[in-house]
Amino acid sequence: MIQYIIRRLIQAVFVVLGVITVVFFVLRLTGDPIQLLLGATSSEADIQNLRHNLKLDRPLWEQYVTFVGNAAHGDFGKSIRFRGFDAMGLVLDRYPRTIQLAVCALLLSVTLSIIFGVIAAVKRYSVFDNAVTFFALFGQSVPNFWLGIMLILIFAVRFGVLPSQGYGHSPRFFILPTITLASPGLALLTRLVRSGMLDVMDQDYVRTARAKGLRDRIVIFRHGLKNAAIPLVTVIGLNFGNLLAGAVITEQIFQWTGVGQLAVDSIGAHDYPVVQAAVFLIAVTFVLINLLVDILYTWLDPRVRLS
Amino acid sequence: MSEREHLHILNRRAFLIGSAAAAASAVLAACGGGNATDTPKAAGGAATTAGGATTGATPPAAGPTPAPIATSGAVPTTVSGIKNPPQGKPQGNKPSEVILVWGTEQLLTTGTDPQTHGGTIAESKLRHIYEVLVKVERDGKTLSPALALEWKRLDDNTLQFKLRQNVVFHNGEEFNADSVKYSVMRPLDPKNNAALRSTYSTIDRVDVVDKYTVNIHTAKPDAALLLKMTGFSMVQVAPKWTEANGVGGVMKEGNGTGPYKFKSWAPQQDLVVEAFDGYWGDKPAIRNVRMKTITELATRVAAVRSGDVHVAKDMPPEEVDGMNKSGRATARSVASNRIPFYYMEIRKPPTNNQKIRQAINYAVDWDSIIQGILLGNGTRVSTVLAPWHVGFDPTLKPYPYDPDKAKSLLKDAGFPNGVDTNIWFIQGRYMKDREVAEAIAQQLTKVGIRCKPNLVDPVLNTQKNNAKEEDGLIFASWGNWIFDADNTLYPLFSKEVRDTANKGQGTSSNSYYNEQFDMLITQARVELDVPKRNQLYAQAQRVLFDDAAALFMYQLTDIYGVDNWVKFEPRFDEMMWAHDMKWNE
Repeated sequence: MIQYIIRRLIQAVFVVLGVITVVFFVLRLTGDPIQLLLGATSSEADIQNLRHNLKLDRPLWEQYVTFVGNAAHGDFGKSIRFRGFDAMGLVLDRYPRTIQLAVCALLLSVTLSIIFGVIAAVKRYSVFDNAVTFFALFGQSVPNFWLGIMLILIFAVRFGVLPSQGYGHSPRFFILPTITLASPGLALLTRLVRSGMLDVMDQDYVRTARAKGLRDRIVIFRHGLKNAAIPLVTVIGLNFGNLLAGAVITEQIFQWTGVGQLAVDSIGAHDYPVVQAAVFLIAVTFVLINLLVDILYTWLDPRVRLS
Repeated sequence: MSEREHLHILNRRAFLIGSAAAAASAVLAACGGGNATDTPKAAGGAATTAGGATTGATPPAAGPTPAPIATSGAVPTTVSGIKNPPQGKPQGNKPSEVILVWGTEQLLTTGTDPQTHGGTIAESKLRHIYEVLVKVERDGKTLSPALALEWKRLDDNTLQFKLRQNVVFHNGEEFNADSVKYSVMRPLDPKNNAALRSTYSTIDRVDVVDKYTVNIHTAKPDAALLLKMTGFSMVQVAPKWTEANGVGGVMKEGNGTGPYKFKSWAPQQDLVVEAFDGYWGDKPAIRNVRMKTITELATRVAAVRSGDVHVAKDMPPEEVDGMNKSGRATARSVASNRIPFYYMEIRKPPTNNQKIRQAINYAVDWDSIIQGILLGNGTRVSTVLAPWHVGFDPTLKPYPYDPDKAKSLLKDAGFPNGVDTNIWFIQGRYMKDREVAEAIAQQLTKVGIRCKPNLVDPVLNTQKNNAKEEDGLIFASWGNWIFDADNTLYPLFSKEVRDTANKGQGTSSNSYYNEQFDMLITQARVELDVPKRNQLYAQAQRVLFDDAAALFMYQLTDIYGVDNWVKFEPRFDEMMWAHDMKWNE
């Protein structure tokens, strides 16, 4: 197990290196920050000066080697757009907000999808089952920027019960962004739990369990759900990536000052160091979450051996 | 943002829908979004950024002006006759702080350093903390003392200011002639890279006469100097504090003489200020202020309608009714200092032909566009100056809508079968910019000027403009932040700007040249006799108009959403200041 984890961590280093390498070069294909930073009134000397200070006048390969070397020491450089601010510092400031939002959305979508999926499977073709199928389809089809704005209009503007936007420590601020971010994943997971449960509930061992006279609840949860949950865990791991990606849009709608919002604005300004720091941190998070998911497997399914 | 932020700005909504490129533009705007085509250094005006900021009209050049200080709040808007509905009753509990909202973040790059920015949003925010020597009242016509009590022109090149005494910066440092000298010269130092540096390039030194008297000296006569002193770059900073904190400190905190003192700020987070107890003037009625950015338009509107924020700029016209009926907030409008227009590329056919340019101006039905698309939120102007600008000629009337005349001009020009051209525009930066552009294209096509609409991403637009790949009609907008004709006509249409724009490479936008026009605006720059100077500008506007140097449009109307807890009448200079507001109790 330890060996497996070490091997995966080594792989992870290469994955993250690959990601930041791609980002490094793609960013530099998209344009030069200097013109955006200096007004049109700036002179050629101003431009050369700034380019030199930001080390953008060096050959690309040299910039890359320096970047990777510094990044290995945790130094992602200074933000270009916010002079004087450390790029990784800006990202780390906001990182907890994005993670809080993503984790809330994950918990919400997993909890509700298990409840809805199980009931829908057990009461197959009932009104509840149809309703769940309908909402799952709805949740997956609706773009989340539309959903977010509708939720704001209903709960903040019409009923005035929740804040329309902003980040705050009160749980009230989390409700609408969490629902918005969770909805596509919730829909997907609900369908998955339902179909997984339907498959499992037809298996011989479930029939045997019932024949032994076990109570329904035990059959459903201990024999049914635990087995149906195996594919669910993989999808949850992958879905966490979707949540981080979805956070970009959700943060924008709700003016949630997280990493997503910062990254979008930084891409627009060609603020290379901040984009690189943000992508690095998100990539590391994603890789670690997936490692965690693989480890969870062994607990859920003893047949799986990490080797 | 820029006076002419040409097409470059970002469009968040577009991003949401999936365009990463649009997002980029946002940043642009924030950075002061210089359009590549912009004005060169030393061209008396404007720089890339800017965006019409400061207050400023004035009784022209010079002379101590007695200053009736307008009462804050509740002055009816009369410019262009916009009448706002009475404010509704406040709902819920009285807020503990007023929350002001904009749609674009401008405190970028140099953060809270006030003297380096050019954008009106940055100015609105930072002038809670910092003050200028002379300010322009909300009527746009009265100059009144702020940190200077009186001023006079000693000779063609020297303006003397007597300063207010017993004024302290928020850290206790004294405001005096030395601090004025430091503050005026600081944005002129190239290493500070101030966005509006070129505007002040005529100033060559500041002499300290005594502790409370300074002389500001220009290398050549500068008729607009007093108005320029009302500008954002001329806010007063504390020399010792600024030096001790270094550039890094000035960009992260604040220390001025203004009615509010700095409390907290971080990149892209709220700027929070609170009333400064040692303020020399009237204490502001609202003690705590939070300034935030909500880029997404729908969210910004919802935030006002739900009472989560109190004053928000740039509300869409179609939301006005909903807001007024919400019971929580009222929409309040004002004719804006910002004027969009379309440059015409006069070096390339077909717009190299004066008759065709005139035909273009006759062919667009502005009344129907203003009513139908802007829902009435625009005021027609004859050229690119607003009525309150010094040098504005009220006798010059806009081109009327006359499609028959347009057709006959086409025929006279030798094109009875019409011509083909392009219109280049951006989307999402100004009210209904795309819709208006498409309407123009349709109306031109109707009279035989077959006009192809080209919607371009702001960054791409700058590139194309710099590469001189654009032709026909090219979108631009200008907010003249010192309210003097010089700061519009020179940076937009002078030969010097044409020849120096884009580091001497030129741009598609800056194509205009007319010898007579150039002579008139160059003379007016240094003419200190007010009636003579106005006469020169009147002639210059006439030449520009007859030449149809651009497709002349309208002044925008700025629409604000104001919570019923707050009393605020918007100003046409785009300034949104808490010290101009009070609680509606």
